Amino acid sequence: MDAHWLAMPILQQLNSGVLVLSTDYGISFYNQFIERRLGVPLAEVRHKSVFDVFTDLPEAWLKRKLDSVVALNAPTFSSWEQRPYVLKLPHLRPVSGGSDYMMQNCSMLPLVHPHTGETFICLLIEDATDVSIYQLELQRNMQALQQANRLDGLTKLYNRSYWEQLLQSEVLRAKRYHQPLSLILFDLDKFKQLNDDYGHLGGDFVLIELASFIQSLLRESDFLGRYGGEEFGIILPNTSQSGANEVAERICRQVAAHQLLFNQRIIRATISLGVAELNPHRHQEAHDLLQCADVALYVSKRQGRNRSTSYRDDLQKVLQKVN
Amino acid sequence: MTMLTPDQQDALQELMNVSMGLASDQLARFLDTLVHLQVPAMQVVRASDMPAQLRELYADKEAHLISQGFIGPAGMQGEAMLLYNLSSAKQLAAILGYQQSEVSDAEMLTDISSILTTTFLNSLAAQLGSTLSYSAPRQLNCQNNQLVERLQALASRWNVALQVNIQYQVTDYAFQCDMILLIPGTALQTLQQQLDDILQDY
Repeated sequence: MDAHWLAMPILQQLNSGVLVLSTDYGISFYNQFIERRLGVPLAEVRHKSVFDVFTDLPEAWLKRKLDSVVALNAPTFSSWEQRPYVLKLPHLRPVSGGSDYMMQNCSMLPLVHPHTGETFICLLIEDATDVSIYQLELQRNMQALQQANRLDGLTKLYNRSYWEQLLQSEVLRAKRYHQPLSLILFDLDKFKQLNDDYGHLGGDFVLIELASFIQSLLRESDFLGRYGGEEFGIILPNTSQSGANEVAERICRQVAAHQLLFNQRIIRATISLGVAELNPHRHQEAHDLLQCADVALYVSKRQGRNRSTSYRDDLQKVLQKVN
Repeated sequence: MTMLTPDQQDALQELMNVSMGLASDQLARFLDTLVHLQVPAMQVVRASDMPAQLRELYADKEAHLISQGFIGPAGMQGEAMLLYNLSSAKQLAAILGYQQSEVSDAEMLTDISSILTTTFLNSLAAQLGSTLSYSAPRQLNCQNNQLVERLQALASRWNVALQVNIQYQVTDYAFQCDMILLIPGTALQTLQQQLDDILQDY
């Protein structure tokens, strides 16, 4: 079979754009794919400069690309991931499409006329709109997943593992830049009693309400996380121990004064807090700082709860006396 | 699997030298500046053995990996990979004649890689009496020094690797990258046949 007659109908019906340019950027040919989307018959624009026919072409960039195809007699490519489109054309997903224009992969190939020897450049345009939409969705889902992976399901605060990562990097940062860093650990007082009195739903309600209430009392640069069942931690970058003490005492007072309404009953909850500041010489790791704050928190509990204790080296002795 | 004989290897090295010469000439005319491309001794190795040799070269550096597939007649096909360090990639915009704001790093890298790969392989194919077509170049993600792992995974799909270290000197700029041509065993047979044909003509 003589296959020559096949070329034109296939070229016209191809589901890709074919645009052929002369070396001085004049339009020699485009197929139906481009003609229909551009809405201009080829006969009207043949031999006109491609830059006059297609609006918004990146002229300097495209000339550089086209010149390289001719000079090097080698193909060059453009991907939608780096440049969303070369030719500004509509796509055929007007409803579900995420973008206004067709995302494109474009190959630019050298062509030599078999009889005249004249060089042309062929631009093959593939519609990558679908791929780009899936890619975008994937990215969004990955972000949502990463976010979910960092949060505690009940309180929506940072979960323990992510909060500990934050603490570690803040400790390193504080050491590197010689900045103060403080830590507050706090624990809901008599949580078991709360659960017994109001049921587990009541206990959960108190955790959720207090988490968002305490979050509202903090600066944006502070990191509040749920450390354990009813235990929480606050990382305070660029804050000395005395500053952290003020924050802790204010939180303690305001929580005690805060009324929570659960099933028409008012719940009053209190918390005990422990405050410690990073000592860059004695604290090797985040864990050492955590331990100091934990000792201070333990003293608050032992001394009657609903109070804040600032870590000192002699707290260990206080603990022994209480015991 | 039989690798190249010493004669075949010599012939291939010679063809590569000529191809590099042709490629640098084309590049120089395109960039309108002096381009000097140098091919030190290439190595032909089993694809599975290759990554270990690159581990040291690209360890502890922010490396970039660009891959581009090629295919020709008689089972000649493969994947060309270009490896760069970030420091040398920064100068690419100037070499290519782009304004820095005009293109992203990824676009510059795929652009220069495509130019280097296609000009070099086109010259090589022409000397072997053949032509090649190419897929679009892709930048492969290899953050956190995963380059070698990534390369290992890719290399496992192929049989033979031709490792070619390319040094560029473009007037004021000097930078270097590695080109690795990965080909399957069938392509190696085609290549060997083509090299033997050339050797017979001598």
